[in-house]
Amino acid sequence: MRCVDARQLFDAYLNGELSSSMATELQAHRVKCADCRREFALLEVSGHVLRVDDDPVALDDNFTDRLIACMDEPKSPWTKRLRWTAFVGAPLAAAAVVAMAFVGVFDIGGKGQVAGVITSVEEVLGQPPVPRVLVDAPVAGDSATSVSGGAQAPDGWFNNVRSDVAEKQRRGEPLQRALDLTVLQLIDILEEAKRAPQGQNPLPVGSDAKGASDRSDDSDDTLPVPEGAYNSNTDR
Amino acid sequence: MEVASVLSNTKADRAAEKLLVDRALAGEGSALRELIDLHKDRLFAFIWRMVRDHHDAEDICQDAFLKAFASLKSFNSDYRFSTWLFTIAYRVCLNKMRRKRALTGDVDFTTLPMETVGVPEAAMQSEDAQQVGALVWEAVEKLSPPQRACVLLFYRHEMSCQELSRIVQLPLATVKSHLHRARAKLREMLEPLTEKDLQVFRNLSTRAG
Repeated sequence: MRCVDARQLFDAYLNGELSSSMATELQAHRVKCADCRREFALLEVSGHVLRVDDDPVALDDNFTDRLIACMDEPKSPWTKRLRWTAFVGAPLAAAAVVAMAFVGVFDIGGKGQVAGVITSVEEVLGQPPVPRVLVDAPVAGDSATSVSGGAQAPDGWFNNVRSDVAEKQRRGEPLQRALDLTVLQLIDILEEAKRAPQGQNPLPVGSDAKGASDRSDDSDDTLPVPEGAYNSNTDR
Repeated sequence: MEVASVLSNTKADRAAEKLLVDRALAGEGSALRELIDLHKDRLFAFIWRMVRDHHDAEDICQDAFLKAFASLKSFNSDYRFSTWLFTIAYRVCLNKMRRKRALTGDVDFTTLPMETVGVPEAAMQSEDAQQVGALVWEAVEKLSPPQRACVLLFYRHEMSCQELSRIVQLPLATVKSHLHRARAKLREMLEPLTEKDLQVFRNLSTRAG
């Protein structure tokens, strides 16, 4: 056997893939050839070190306990938790928000509107479905200054909820929990809306929506008119 | 490699392992604990050799177990549980290393203090052997992640090339090529060794076949 042939067999030999006859032939060559013997010894030494050396580090003794505790954390079975949170929880919470909003619209309007009436989230959450026209000039007899149609009073609570969720996400709180809280807030608001007299905005008024007049002549509205959302001279 | 003994162990192990996994799937806490205790040390050792950071290694180890248990139903009992676990851990390792590289640039393992590097068993007998061990581990740190994984799994965890192929998710030929290149680099690092140095290991058992 030539050196070049022998060296080609080193890997197969170390991998345990060489037939016994070839292995014997290789060993015979090693005995005769000093270069190949050294070459092979270097490979064997590195393999030996890798195999027998102790690891200088070890896991903490309480690793298993911590891991088990990590699995037991949620109330639901841990095997279902991840899937529930990722694939069911969040969409379900989102659906609940929408569903609650729809129910709320029916009750607030008190006119038996159907779901098809609702055209946007803003509409559901208190902004009237009007073109957003920026009214710059103050109107005579009206204490309002410049207002932005459809982007005022509801912004107060709606943006609060939205920023609340964003803040929770920023802090790394689970989205599931943030959505749960949002649903609870929404339920509170809608409950209050039910109790409020018709035509009166039950929603918290934004800080920039002060002194604008109410719009009371629009019978088509499905929602109470937020304060300051309209200028009295603005046509729809 | 002692193929025969591995195969016979495997047969017995797989039956017990399947039983254990079935119990874990049925929600038996003690089975989960048993699976963790059986594999945690070997898995952690492998991960630590890959990432060379205790905290990262522990995080990856925990993550690998959680991922494995979360998808325990998909475990194929035709293979060893450890193969499956190491496959998951290797992927988590690679992701962690990529993220770390993206954040901090290339990790230069050669700057790590040498006292944390393992020393050979023979170090107790000889300072020369200790130096040889240090050289070998230094060379291992310089291998690419797939090469390092292949070498560690093959030598330290006594896995076959087929198992390596499953764990690193590469074709068998590629795995053998990684092993070949890794061995060549290790041999290159040991090139300065003299006959006297090699003598230290001459009579120690070797792993071939």
